[in-house]
Amino acid sequence: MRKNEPQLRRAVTPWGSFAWGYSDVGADIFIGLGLVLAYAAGASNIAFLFAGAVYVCIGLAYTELAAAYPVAGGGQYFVMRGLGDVFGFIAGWAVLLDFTIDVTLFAWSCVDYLSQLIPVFVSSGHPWVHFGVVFVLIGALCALNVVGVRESTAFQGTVSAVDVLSETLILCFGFLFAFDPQLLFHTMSSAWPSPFALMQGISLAIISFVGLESISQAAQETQRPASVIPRTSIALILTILIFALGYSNLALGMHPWHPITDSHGHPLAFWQIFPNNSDNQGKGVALLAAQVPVWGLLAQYYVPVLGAILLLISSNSGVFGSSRIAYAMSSANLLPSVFQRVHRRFRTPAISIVTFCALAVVELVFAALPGLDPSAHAVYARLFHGEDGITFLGDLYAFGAATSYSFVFLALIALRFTDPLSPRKFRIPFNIRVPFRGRHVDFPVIGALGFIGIAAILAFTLITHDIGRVAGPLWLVGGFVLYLVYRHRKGLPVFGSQDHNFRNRQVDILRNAGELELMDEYVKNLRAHAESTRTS
Amino acid sequence: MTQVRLGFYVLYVILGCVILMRLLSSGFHWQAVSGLVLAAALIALGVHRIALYARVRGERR
Repeated sequence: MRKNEPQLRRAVTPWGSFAWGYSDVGADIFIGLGLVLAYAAGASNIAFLFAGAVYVCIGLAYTELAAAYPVAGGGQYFVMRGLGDVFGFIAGWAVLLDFTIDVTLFAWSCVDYLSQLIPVFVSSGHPWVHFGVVFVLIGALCALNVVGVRESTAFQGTVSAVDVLSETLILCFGFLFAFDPQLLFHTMSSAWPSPFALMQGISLAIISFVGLESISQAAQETQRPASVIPRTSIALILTILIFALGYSNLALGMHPWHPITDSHGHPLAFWQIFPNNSDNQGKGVALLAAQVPVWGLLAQYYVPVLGAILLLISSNSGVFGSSRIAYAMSSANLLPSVFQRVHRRFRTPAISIVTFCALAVVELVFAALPGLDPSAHAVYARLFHGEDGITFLGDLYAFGAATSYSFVFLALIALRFTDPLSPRKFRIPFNIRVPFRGRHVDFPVIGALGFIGIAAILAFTLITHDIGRVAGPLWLVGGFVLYLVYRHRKGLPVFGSQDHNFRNRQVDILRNAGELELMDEYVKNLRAHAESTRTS
Repeated sequence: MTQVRLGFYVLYVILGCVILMRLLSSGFHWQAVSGLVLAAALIALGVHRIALYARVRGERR
């Protein structure tokens, strides 16, 4: 890192760090709930449990890595450091896919939530209005980011606090007054899905846990991150897990406050309003909140608004995050330098922002096409088994997340072996001591289990999603070709790695983070290592 | 503000215990596993944060 390079100010408090992560990951359940109920039906809570277990492993991996390497590059940086430039590029490129999908998917769902109060926004009834509003939202977020306006940490903190309070109250009222364990057991037995639908449900459940990149982004701007990040991350991981498991159990085992009937007047269970209804799938939490006894009277009005605000913040983090990751990748010579170019007047990476927002618009068009044009609907029905817009976006989101998380697990394991000298203030529990090149290394069992879990989810995504299995790998192949051409033209190693001088960089990182004790420990470890190498 | 947050974590522990009792009182069913994990997560988060608060308070004294 150059001495005079401007640095991000480290002013984020522990609560700010929690709120940052929460406003990113916390919004996911607003989309995931309806989608998973639509596919996994009576096994939705099991789908969330499986994805949640993998998510806990991912969260712990990110916590260890972000505390040891507090840089904003996140997964891409960890993978580049642990596995080399090629894999670092692939992981970063998969994260970029997720961020661009994030922009579209969350803006789409934001409008779905608003449609609960403004019927003209309903996608199936007024597809052009829905498309137009999502398009305007993406355009507005792009413009705001180019100009350099971001929501403040205080605003994020307030929205997160209100949301945590609101979701807790929904759980309290729901479990106290509407939850019936016998109904839950009956629903799970009678509406258990086919193995194919369960795999589909699990692959969509992982989208409720995407956004852990925010942990490392927060680490870059938090004072003393090695101490603060583990504390806030564990609270964040458990909070998100609680809401996902709580809502899915409640949705399967609650008696709706107001009777729900089908078009023939037959009574329906709450979860039955989601299959084959993309309008409902996009606003699962708002529909659930309205059916919670007593509190639902108020929740039916404010939850759609709160959900829309949280989703918009998350969509904005997609715009901001994609430009930041592209900037980091460009600085590491993984992407062309054009992505580093900063706007003269606004001092923002305008080219990156506009490029990735344009990609988000392309994804929006692809997702909205079946609703806008009946002939396109017929093509989708023939080629992709009739997948609708929100499922298409969910597919790609799950693919990008599963790919990048898989590499992060491998990087975690590799770094335990290749970089034992960096002090780790937080270490994932349950390690096995294994001999390696004359010393002992702690092999992370949870990291290995998490890798198996996320690889299974990636396989489920590829098996069950017709669009995801084509578009996801195409994105990776297209990016890799771009990478090969760029590295060849620049005269950089195409399949190998350049010399990044990670050791000097780590000292700078720890010094800038205010982790002076860790920096001293690291320097001491380096000297001891050099001494022992010289002696031997 | 700290008292409000603390009250919140106590609420988590209580909610976790309520869910646990309601599930277990219906007999042992494998379908309850996800709910049991939810109850355990609620209690764990509540206890973890309360313990952290108590530790920080003890250090300040």
